[in-house]
Amino acid sequence: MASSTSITGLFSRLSLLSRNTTTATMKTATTTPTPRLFSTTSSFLARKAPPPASGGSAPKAARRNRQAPKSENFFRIRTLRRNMFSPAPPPLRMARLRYLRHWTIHRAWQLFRRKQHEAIDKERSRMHAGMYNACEELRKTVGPGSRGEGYLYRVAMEKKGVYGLEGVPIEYARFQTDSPAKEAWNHEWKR
Amino acid sequence: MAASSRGSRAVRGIFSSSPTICSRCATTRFYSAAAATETKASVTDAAPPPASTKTPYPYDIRSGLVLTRPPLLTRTLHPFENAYYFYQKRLEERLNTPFITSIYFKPDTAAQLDWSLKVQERGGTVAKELGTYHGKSSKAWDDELKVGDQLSSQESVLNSLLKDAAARVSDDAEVIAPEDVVPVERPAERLSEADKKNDVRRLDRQMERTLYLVVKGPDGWGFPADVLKDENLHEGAKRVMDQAAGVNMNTWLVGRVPVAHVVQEPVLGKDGEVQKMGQKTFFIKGRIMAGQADLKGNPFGYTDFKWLTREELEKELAPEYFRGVRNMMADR
Amino acid sequence: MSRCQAVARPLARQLRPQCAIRPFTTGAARASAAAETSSAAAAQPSPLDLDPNSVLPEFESDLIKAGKMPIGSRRRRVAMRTTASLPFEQLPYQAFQEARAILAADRQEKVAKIQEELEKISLLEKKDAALVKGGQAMKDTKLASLRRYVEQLKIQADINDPLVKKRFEDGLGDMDKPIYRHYAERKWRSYDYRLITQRIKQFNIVPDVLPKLDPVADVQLYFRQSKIPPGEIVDSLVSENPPRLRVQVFDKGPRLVSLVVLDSDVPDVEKDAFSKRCHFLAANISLSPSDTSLPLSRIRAADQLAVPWLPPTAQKGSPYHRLSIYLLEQKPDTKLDVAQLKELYASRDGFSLKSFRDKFSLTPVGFNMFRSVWDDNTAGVMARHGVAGADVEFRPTRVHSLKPPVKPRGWEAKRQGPAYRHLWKYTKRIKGLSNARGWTKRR
Repeated sequence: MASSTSITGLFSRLSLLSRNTTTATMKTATTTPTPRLFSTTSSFLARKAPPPASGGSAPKAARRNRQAPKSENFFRIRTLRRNMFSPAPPPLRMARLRYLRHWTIHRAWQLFRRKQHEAIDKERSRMHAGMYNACEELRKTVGPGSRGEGYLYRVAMEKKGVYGLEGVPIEYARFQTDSPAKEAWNHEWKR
Repeated sequence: MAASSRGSRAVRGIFSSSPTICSRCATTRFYSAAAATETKASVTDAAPPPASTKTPYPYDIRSGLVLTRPPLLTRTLHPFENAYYFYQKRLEERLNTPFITSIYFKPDTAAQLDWSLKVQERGGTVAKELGTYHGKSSKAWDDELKVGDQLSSQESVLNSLLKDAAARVSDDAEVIAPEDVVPVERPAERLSEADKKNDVRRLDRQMERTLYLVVKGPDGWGFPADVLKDENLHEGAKRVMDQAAGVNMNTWLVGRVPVAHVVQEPVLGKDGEVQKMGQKTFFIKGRIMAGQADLKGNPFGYTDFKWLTREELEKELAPEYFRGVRNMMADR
Repeated sequence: MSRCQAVARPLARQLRPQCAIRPFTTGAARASAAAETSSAAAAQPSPLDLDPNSVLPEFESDLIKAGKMPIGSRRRRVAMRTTASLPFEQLPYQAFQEARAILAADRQEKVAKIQEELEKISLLEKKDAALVKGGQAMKDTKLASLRRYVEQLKIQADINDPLVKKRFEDGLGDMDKPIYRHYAERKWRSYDYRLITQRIKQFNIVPDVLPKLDPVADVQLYFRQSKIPPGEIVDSLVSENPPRLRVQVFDKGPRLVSLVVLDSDVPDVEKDAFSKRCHFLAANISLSPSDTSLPLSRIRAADQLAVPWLPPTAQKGSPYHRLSIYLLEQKPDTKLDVAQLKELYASRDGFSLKSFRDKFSLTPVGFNMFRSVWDDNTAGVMARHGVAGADVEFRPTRVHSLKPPVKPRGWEAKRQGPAYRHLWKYTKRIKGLSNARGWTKRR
């Protein structure tokens, strides 16, 4: 089927040329004295020969009209359409020892992560315990001056002004980075 | 007033009048009930102090400040992490769909020329830091890095990214000669000048770790602290900081809750009178974001200051003092 | 090439732009490059390239000419060139070696912890029970939980070792070590255990034979070297000889077990019911995790075999017989009196596993089963072993429904009466429903 489409493509290209050149090339190509038709179907025979080209511009215009106008994104869409539906690559397959190495690495990674998480948990509970003990001590403290027991604790527990837009300064929202800034620390900061 | 707190007031009256019951237990017990009422009432109206009227409280209450500088840098990765990430990246290279250059680059543009030049130099590998490796070729199975190969280190990743970032094709699509290529500026070193000189006063040292401000007072190294003068803990801490280390620091007190405490017991005589007052020091946590401490003219007699990490603090501070504050220190 | 193409080719050739120069040059360049590589390759055949295990693709033909065929895939051969002489744990791959370092450090931690716990155990053992808070009972509980923890740690110390995993997968694991038993149990629980519990449920073993049964040991059944899946119907000629069991227990140490093979579907004509019959009974069989084979034909000792093997037979017409095999663990260091067993169960019929279990305080640990039906060989087997009843054929008694008969229903049945005379040509004499004598369809 592909070959026949290529033939039609050829013919459409040929029709652009003038009638004389067409017959000339046909003569050279096929070496038979009379131009032979490629297709002998009845429909082709019944088809009338195109009217003689009057300047050659009229058939060109007709052909342009037949094609749909290309959108400005035509090439981009074509690229996407060609590549978007590429089949997914096959799953990884590993030989036995290779898989065993992969398993080892995987187990070690799981272990490593777990130890990290446990260390973080421990750190947090340690810090919380420190705060808890300090607060407990503060709760049993009398003073300052003539204040009663637990006064400082109650003040410390107050949340007025702790949250909200003013709660955390914006300078504190600095991420940790892989490399320091050009001037790593601003020592000359003045109020 | 809620019924429960009314009841507690009544019972507290009975307790304070009867001498058989320890006042400390009583107040400890009733605190939770009283707190609900007290938070609603103004904090300035003080509850009648039951204990202080009888004997003076044998402790000085001090408010201190642990001023910390948070880590500026991410932590250094464990060698296993480097190796693992590299391993996973190569596996990903085997599993992903191919990179379609024409989707991302218009044909015959400078960007496309630049890209193709760089990919060609990498031996056709799309990824920048994976070395020459093709996840789809017949040699794709050979994806494991050998021991001792520096390709997986953070340093080589940085180098490859820097190399890739340098422009190789000018804006008018002409290939720049290798000697004319302007390399991208390297980011600063993780190890600073202060680290090399071990300058413990500077704040740009040990940038992966938390630093703590300690000052040298009459009784050795410690965190700045002072006796409260009819003020609250966080106000006291703020005052201590301003007086001791100057105002030229951009700081933030993280909450009003103490994070650590150090207690020094009072010395009592034989018949119970106080010979030497004890000390209760409560520490508020602060963060510094810019500036530097300045001890000039401080009223506490501090002569020196240092910014130290947790391990260095352990050597510097007295053991019982360190035991009191170590719980608030993060691992890094 | 299709005809159209053939015809159009010279035409197309003429129309094509003349650009014959580039292909020639590239072709030439490619050819010269290929020649270069081939000459470079031919120059240096290393000793590795003469080995069929590690020859590179370009030297294959030389080797084949020399009469040696390359071994394995090309990929394998390239791998063998670099790492053939190294044992698995020394393969020089970065992520793998770093991972091994992490796992080794973890193992060290676990081993240190085991030491610590063992010291705790020895201290507690030496301590007088009166000094322990809670007395002897608490001391025993503490010791037991400490020991359990040590066992757990032993498994955790080795569970990340790739070589241990490999050895287990190869079937080379030493079952006296806890880690291999752990792997084996995990594997058994993943499928075989579920299958066995399903058989227990679907064949109603649990209410029929025992009130409760949860197997903890793997019992596999072999008749004449072929493995019988649980619940399979076995030919009576095959089951004439006693089977061989493969028993894998998952807890440590030797123990004594009793073995019972029981037919729980023996028809009892007088009572119009089914009874049970003991086909094999042995006691005091020693089992340990590393010693798995248990052929029933080898159990002959006087202090073990109580009731010898009787081939399972099902009389003609009786439903399938469930032959179930039970492994019952005896109390530690107690032997059963086989003479008493012989005396008790010599008659085989009416054997109750539940009473046997209770009488000798046994714990059922393993289970397997097969089925037996009447087949061509059963009569011969019964004749050879003197089992009576080969000449009897059972027939199930017809149990009639107690429901009243249902009237015929449907469009046709409704229009049988004279009121629908005009429809009779549609409602009478229909094949399958009615004929000339009337309505024939039942129900």
